[in-house]
This record gives sequence, C-alpha cells and structure tokens, in this order.
Amino acid sequence: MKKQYSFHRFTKLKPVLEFMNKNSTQSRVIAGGTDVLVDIRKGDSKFDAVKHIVDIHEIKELRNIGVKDNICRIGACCTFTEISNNEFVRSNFPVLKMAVEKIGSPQIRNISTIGGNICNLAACADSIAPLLVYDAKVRILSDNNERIVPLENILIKPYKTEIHPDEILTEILLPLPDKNWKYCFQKLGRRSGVSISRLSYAILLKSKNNKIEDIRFALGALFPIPKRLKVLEHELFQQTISPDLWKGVSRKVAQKILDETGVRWSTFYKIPALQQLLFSSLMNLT
Amino acid sequence: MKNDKFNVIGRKLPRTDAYEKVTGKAQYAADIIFPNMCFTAQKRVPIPHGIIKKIDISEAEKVSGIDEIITSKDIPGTNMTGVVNNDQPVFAYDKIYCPADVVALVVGEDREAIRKALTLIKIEVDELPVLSDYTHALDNDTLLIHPENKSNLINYYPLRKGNIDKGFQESDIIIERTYTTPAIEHAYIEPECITAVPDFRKDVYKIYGSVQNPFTCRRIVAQVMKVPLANIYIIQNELGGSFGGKDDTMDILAARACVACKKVGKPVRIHLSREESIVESYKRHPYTMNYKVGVSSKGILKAMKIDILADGGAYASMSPFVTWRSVVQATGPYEVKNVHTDIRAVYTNNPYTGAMRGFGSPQIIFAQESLMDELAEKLHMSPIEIRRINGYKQNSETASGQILSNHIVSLNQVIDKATKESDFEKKYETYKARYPVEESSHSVNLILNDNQFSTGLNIKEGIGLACSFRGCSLGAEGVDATGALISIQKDGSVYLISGLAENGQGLRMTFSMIAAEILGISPDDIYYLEQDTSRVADGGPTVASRSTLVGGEAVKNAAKIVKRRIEKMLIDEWDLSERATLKFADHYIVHEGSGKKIAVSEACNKAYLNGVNLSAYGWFKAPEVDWDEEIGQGPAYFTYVYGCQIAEVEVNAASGKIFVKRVTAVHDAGQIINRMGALGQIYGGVYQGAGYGIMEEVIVKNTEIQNVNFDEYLIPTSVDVGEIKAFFIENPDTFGPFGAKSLGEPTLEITAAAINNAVSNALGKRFYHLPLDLEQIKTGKSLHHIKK
Ligand SMILES: Cc1cc2nc3c(=O)[nH]c(=O)nc-3n(C[C@H](O)[C@H](O)[C@H](O)COP(=O)(O)OP(=O)(O)OC[C@H]3O[C@@H](n4cnc5c(N)ncnc54)[C@H](O)[C@@H]3O)c2cc1C
Repeated sequence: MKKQYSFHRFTKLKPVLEFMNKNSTQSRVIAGGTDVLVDIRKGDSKFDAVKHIVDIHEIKELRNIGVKDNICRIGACCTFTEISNNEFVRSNFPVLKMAVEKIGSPQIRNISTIGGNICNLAACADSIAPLLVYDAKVRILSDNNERIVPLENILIKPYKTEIHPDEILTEILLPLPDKNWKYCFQKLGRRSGVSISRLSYAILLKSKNNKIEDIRFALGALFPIPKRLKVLEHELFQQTISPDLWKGVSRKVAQKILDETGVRWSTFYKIPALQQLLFSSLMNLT
Repeated sequence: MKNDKFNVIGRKLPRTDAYEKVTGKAQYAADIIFPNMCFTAQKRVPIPHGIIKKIDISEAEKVSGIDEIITSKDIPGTNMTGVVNNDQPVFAYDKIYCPADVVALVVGEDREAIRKALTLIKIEVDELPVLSDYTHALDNDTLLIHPENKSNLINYYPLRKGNIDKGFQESDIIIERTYTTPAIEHAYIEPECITAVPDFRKDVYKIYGSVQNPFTCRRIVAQVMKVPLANIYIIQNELGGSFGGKDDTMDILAARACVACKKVGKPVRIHLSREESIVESYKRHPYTMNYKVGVSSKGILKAMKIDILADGGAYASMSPFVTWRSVVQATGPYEVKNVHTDIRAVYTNNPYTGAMRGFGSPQIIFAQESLMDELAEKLHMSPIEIRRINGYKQNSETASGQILSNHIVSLNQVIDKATKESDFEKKYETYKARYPVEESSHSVNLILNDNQFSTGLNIKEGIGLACSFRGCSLGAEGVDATGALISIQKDGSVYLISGLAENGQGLRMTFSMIAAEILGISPDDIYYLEQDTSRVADGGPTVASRSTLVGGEAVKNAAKIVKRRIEKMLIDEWDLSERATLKFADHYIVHEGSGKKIAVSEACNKAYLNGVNLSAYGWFKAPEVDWDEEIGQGPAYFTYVYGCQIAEVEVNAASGKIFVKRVTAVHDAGQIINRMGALGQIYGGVYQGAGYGIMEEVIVKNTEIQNVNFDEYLIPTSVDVGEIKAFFIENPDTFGPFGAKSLGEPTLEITAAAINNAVSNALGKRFYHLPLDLEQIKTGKSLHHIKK
C-alpha cells in the first residue's frame, strides 16, 4: 500500500537542523529527489520508519560554490548543472567536471545534487570517485555539532554513510590542486545518455623524468562502493613509467576487485574490459 | 516547397496534432476523467504454469471502499479470446498459462482500498512444470501448454521451390549459420489505459483508450460482453506510441473493464504502471534461425535451406501472421532457384509475442543480410557485388514464385544511392584493410597476460550495409479493404475520418493532405474527426505499413466523389461541355479554357444551396493476392517496397561499446505524401532498429521478465545515434494514392543487420546474436543479471 508522508520544505539551514534534531529517526532528507522518489515508489524498506520528508533543495546556504584559503567549497545542494557550469570547477577540477557532465540527462542534472549522490552512496555514484582523487572533505552539521572529515571516512557500505540521522551534509571541501596533475576520467555505460555506470575510474598522475611522483586512483561501480586504491598508489611511488608497469597496474586493480567481490555474473566481461581500458588510459596519460 | 505535379502532396508540413502534443494540450486516455469513475487493480497469478483450484475473494470483498471484485464468473459472453485463435482467457479461471495472467479485477473509487483488497485475494493452485526454453517446445516428451491442441505447435509454414539437393550439388561454397534474436518490448512512452463507460441505453458501452485497432477491440469486447458489435463504441484517444503493441493487450483490458463496468454501472478504468505494462503486453518474437546457403564460385546463389523457430509464448496472438511474413521474405531480396524454408511458431509459458513494427522481418533480415556479407567475404567479393549479382531486378521471381513485374523493382537504385551517399566502398575497404578479417577467439582468462593487452587505438571504425524488400499491406493474411468518410461544410471546411486509426505516425496529416490535394484546399481546412467505431466502417487494423497505401487511397476516392459532384454543378452552371475538367487548386476552382473561377468555399455554399450531397464514402479494396499453404507458393503481396541502410559505427574494442555514428537510409516508398512525416518515420525507425541492434532485450528467465522498467530495459536515447541521412526514391506505385506505398516498417527492419555488418567490418569478427551489447562484443555472449 502507498504510504503517506508529511512534507517539510525549508529555506534556511538552522530550522532544518532543529527539526532534524527533534525528529531524527523519523525523518529523511530530500534534495533533488532523484534517488528518494525512485526508492519511495519502489517501496524501499529504508523508508519504513520514515514519517517526514525534509526538503533542503531550496536552502540557499547549501547552494554556493566558492573558494577561500585555497579550498574550494561546494554546497551539498548544488546541482550537477550548477557544478559543471562553474568556471572555477571546470578549470581546477576537470575530473569532477567530466564526471558530472555525464550523469543522467540534462533534466536529471538540473535537479539532482552532489550531496544526494554522496549520501545515497550507490556503487555507481559517479561524482564520488573524482572527489576521492581530489582528497575531498565533507562538512557535516547537526543542531549541536559540526565536523569536517575526509569523504573517504564516511563511505561505509552500499547505501550507508556514516552521517547520522540528525545530521546534514552541508559542504564538500576540495583543496586546490596544482596544475601539474595529468588526469583522466572514464565512465562506461550501456548507452551514451541516461546511463548507469558499469564501471568508472578517476586517475590523477604527477611524474618527473618518467618516474611517478604521485598517483591517485579511485574506482566506481567496481567495488561495492567507490574507492581509492591507496596501497597501490604508495607502491607506485618513484616507479619508472613503462607499458609493462601499466599492464601490471591494470592487472593488480583487476585482481583486487576479484579478491573483494568474487566472481559475479558480470565478471567475465568487466574484469578483462577494465584492464584494457585502464591500460589504454594510463598509456594515454604518459 | 511545392513541385509542379502537386499542390500539397510531397510537401514538408508539420502534422495536424503537432502543436497540441508539443505544448502538452493533447489529451491522452489517462488525462480524461469521468464522473464517478472507478479505478482498478489486477490480481496476477502466483506461478507461471499450473491449475487453478480456487480463487477466494471472500476476505478481499470485505474491504470497505471497494465496489466489486470481477472474475471470469462475471463474463456474460466468452472468456477465451484472441486475434487469431481463441486461446487467451480474459480472466484466468482453470489454467494458468504464463505469469502475466490475471484472475481478478478489484474495482472501486478508493485506490488505497483497491490495493488492500488486492492483497487479500487468495489463489489456490497446483503447480505444473514450466516450459521456458522454446527450442525444446516440440520435443517428444515435452509438456503441453494448451493440451487440447495435442502439441505446442502454433503454426507451421513450409515453402518449397526448385530442388534443394540439386541446388547444393551445384554450389561451390556452402555455409551454414545459426542466428538468434531476443524478445523486444515496444516501449511506447504511454502505458496502457482504458475506460469503459456505461451508456443510458441498455447494454451499450463506450470505451475510451489508447487502442491501436478500434475494430479489433470492438469485436473482442462484443464477444466477451455477448452484445452486438453496434452496441460497443470504441473511441480512440491520442496514442502515446504503439508500434504494433496496443492491439491484443488493449483488447483484453477493454474487455475486462467492460465486464466490470456492466457490474458496477459506473465508468471503470484500467491504467497500467510501466512494470505492469511490460509484464502484461506482448513482445516481438524471439527467433532461432538456421540458414544453410550454397553459392557458385561466381557468387550466384544456388540454394537456401532455412529452418526457423519462433517463440510464440503462452498465446497464439499474431504468431500465424508474423511468421507468415517471415516465410515469404526469408530469402531476402535475392533470386534463389532452390529454396526450402520451414518456419514454426510454438507455445511456451513465456510472455506471449505478437505484432511489433517489422512483424517477422527484422529477425530474418538480421540473418539473411549478415549471411550475405559473410558469403561475400568467402567469395572475396564486396558486399555490393554479391547483392548486385543476386538482388531482385525487374521481373525477378521471388521464393514464392511471384514475378515482380507490376511495380518498379528498385533494389539496385536504393543500394546505389545509399552506397554513393555514404562513400561505402572506399570506407569499407579502408576499414577492412586496417583490421584484417580473421577469427580471433575471446579471452577466457580473467587476468590478461602481457600479449593480450592491445597498444593500438581502442576505437575501431566500421561500415555495413543491409537491404530489404517488403510486401506492402496485409498480403494474403486477410481481407484488405478500408473506407473513408468525407463531409464538406457549406463554408468549405471539411470533416474527414478513415477506417484506419492514427497510431501516432501522422496518419491524420497524411490523409488530410491527400484530401486537400484533390479538393484544391489546404490541410488546415480539414478537421480530422476523433476515431470512433460508430462513425465509420470497419477498415481493418492499422498495421503492416498499410495506412497511406490502402487508407490513403480510400480517402482519395472519397474526396474525388465529392469533387466530381461540385465539378458537375459548376459545369452546368458555367454552361461548359460535359467533358470539361476544372482545376481545383489554391482554394479556387478554375476552368482554364473560359477563365471562369470560383473560390472553393463559395462553390461549397452554392452546392449546399442546390442540395448537392457534399459528403461521400470512399472505399479501397486491395488487388487480389494468393498463397498456397502446402508449398508456400503464390503472389503474396500486391506490391513491394525496397530499402537500403548503411550504418557507420565506432566500436570500442576494449569495452565492447558500439556507437552508431551515422546511418544513411534510402527508401523507395513510392510518392512521398508528407515529407516531414516520412522523415520522422526514418529517424524513428532507425533509432528503434539501432536499439534492436545494440541494446534492447527483454530478459526472460524461467518465463519471468527480469527488466520491467526503463532503468533496465534500455532503449536508445537521443545521443546514442549520431547522424541520420535520409533519402527517398519515389517510384510511383500503380495502386497507392498518387503513387504512394509503405514506409513505417521498412525503416526499422534493416538497421540492426546493417550495424552487425558494420561491426564485423570494424572488428574482423562476425556476430550471430542480437543484441550486440557490451558482453556480446567482448565475450561472444550476452550475460544477464538474474534476480532472485
Ligand atoms: C534517470 C536517472 C538517471 C541517473 N543517472 C545517474 C548517473 O548517471 N550517475 C549517478 O551517479 N547517479 C545517477 N542517478 C542517481 C541520482 O540522480 C544521483 O545519485 C543524485 O546525485 C542524487 O541527488 P538528489 O539530490 O536527487 O538526491 P535525493 O534523492 O534527494 O537524496 C538521495 C539520498 O541522499 C540523502 N541526502 C541528500 N542530500 C543530503 C544532505 N545534504 N545531507 C544528508 N543527506 C542527504 C537523502 O536523504 C537520500 O537518502 C540517476 C537517477 C535517475 C532517476
């Protein structure tokens, strides 16, 4: 049977936090609603205990993009259209721009938010891998607390973040990268528009004299949740770049996925495809 | 754009309903609200195959807020229906044939109460084993879906020509290949919606809905309601897409709604969700096709032995007609002296399959055109050369022994135009040289070894061609006649309606243009009436790309009758010789000899005042066709169209992803009536064909559909196909209005085959199964996520 909810729209941050404080266990935030509405229609069990839908999409304080002290701050309710149209983001965070431009369709991008993408935490959430390679932090507020933590730390498992029911994600904080990073972003879906990622990855690379100075990998839709590969990144420090190195890297990534997810229906496709794609991307970077 | 021959015909005009549709003003079935209207929910069966022992509605009936629960017991007439065989129950009552079957309809004004009642209906069943793999439907010991038929065979058509053994003996090269195609969803944007409304007259019902074929629907409803045909009015609302898909499903929903309407005495609406729509509606047939073909070293086709099996699903539906078109066209547009074709459609517990744009042709074209390219490779010929040698020419004989003499056989024309416009030969050779044709096997190891990594570009380009011939209209399938009614008002404005229904393809505009051309007026002067079975005679269904050809000719005849009457009146009045002809153009009627002239509107007023009858019925009955079922011989269709499409693709060899970069489509559809509508058919057809080629598949696992919404059943979006270059060859036909023929289905049927040939050209590797999705390209087979 269709459930009824009470709907609360807020235009200021403070009252939402107060409301959430009082009704935390029975409330659910809605931003763009592009995940929430789909879940409600499906009758998803995560809404079983929910009585209040709390709309934060119109809160102006959550829709700014700005820079201060070498940190770029993106409001959690910024839509993907706003993010990809922002000149500062475009020139400083090209991987993020490439990723958000490929999300859904223009209609979806006009309403869906980056905060929603993070908080929903689907394996295929496209904005997360780019944020991870840029070492994003998130600012989380409740009525009586504020915390700023690395994005990585709040990603627990599919559809589960470490954001408490009375908290709201308000901002994403991105340290300004220097311009020496080479980068790539790859999203593969079954079609070119309105497409769920079958796999995605973001890579940043800094090298000198053909040696790796710094490299960052984050993968989407390959592990249960998007993920940085920090151990591998460290192993590659000061390694000499060569086709053989990249083949080895591609294989290692594939092996790590196999180890963690086991053989699934899609493995016979995904694992070989990923290795060749990664290898080509890495070759193109160098 | 106006040409010398015509004033209106051939112009590029926006359709009559464009403004309303684009601005959201058009009313679709679900937009219309009737007073006291009841909503409904359908109770589906719990298992795919079994015997129903008891349907217990006692608890559900107690829910307050519902009006009635309808089951088979409430049906006044027959429960078993079907467009060909009566094998489908309106309400399942003793046997369950497939998961889509419905046992009860909960009716009421309160939607929450309906949903609650639905969960309280109990169905007791004895489960039967399930038959889902159609390739085993005819095994000796297999279980029977409709035991009364003694077999799971729905129909079988043989075609025999020449001597097949001799043909193979004369062949230098023989290849044998098996091709498969999946079930396909029509994916109309508007899900099914129907409302049955009681009338103040006893046993009269008005039914409003997204109905493709109002007369078929009326027949089924009347049969189920046990009332005369005249008591049932089917009024068609704007159709949000159909593609052949709003026939049987809508007929059955209409019958259910009408049974409920009788019982509650209020309007009753059935409106499906997308998931229900995908579960309940019929699909395009999956085919397994075995082609064995022999060719001489010079490239002359000597023999073709074809064995095709089609999954009909739980009900016969249109299987007998769909597979008949396949048997007629299975060899493609090629002369073959010795042909031996067998085609069978079989029952399974799968979703039933029926009419879908293409109607038995996209499958066989995928096989036969893939095969032609493979043969060309074996013969070291170009794909064009093999088609030139064997392709139909004027007076060629088809596999069924029909001599193609009464129309212009334009296969070479369409191929020439398409290859020229796409620079086919040069590109084909360039891509082929880049990626030499060799059979490489798919990697079986998960972790690649060093030499499995490719350092070249991942993107491989390819170009591929496919062509077809297609019989227009119904052919020997059935009665092929239709009418149109025209009524001119005294101010010159016009009512028009035909027996064929708008399906969203733009028929109303095409028909308006035909009438306007004859009467010398503008299509804007014509008001096309709402489709209502009480307004016009049964003209058969809107199917088989027949509307412009058959319906258009009826409209033309109607307009001509009225025109002749006005002409006679003016000849009298102007004292002209009886044989004088007047020119009707640009809103005036002119006698060129005398210079006499009158506005059409004024002439109509005059006619009205003189008591001249300004309304008329036009009729068109298609020329005779014939078919010998024993040997599959005869003139199957009275005329044919020819088309060629060339697809250019970029295949990402790393990911298996195909991008259809460009499609050059050349179609001889006879004289084009509305150029804009015709282009729309090509654009839409190519997209739908590309979807069939690279991504669409209804995934059926143990009779159960896995992908029941558009998040998982993928159709191409506007960015999935690049450029479409459309060209028309306009050889006038003898029969159609102003020489027009058919276009709707030809545009869709060849695209997938062209894409497959392009992919082979890109990768140097052939594929035999649709869709060419990521996994197919990378691993050689489709992989599916099966839900528990
Ligand atoms: C047709 C379609 C196509 C799509 N395509 C893509 C795609 O290509 N790539 C992709 O990654 N996703 C895609 N999505 C999924 C979805 O659009 C994204 O995940 C989007 O970013 C969600 O944002 P939203 O604002 O709509 O979130 P909502 O649906 O409003 O919320 C999502 C979840 O986050 C919570 N939440 C939202 N904001 C906050 C906040 N500030 N603080 C705390 N919790 C919060 C909500 O409570 C909810 O649990 C698609 C969805 C649809 C319907």
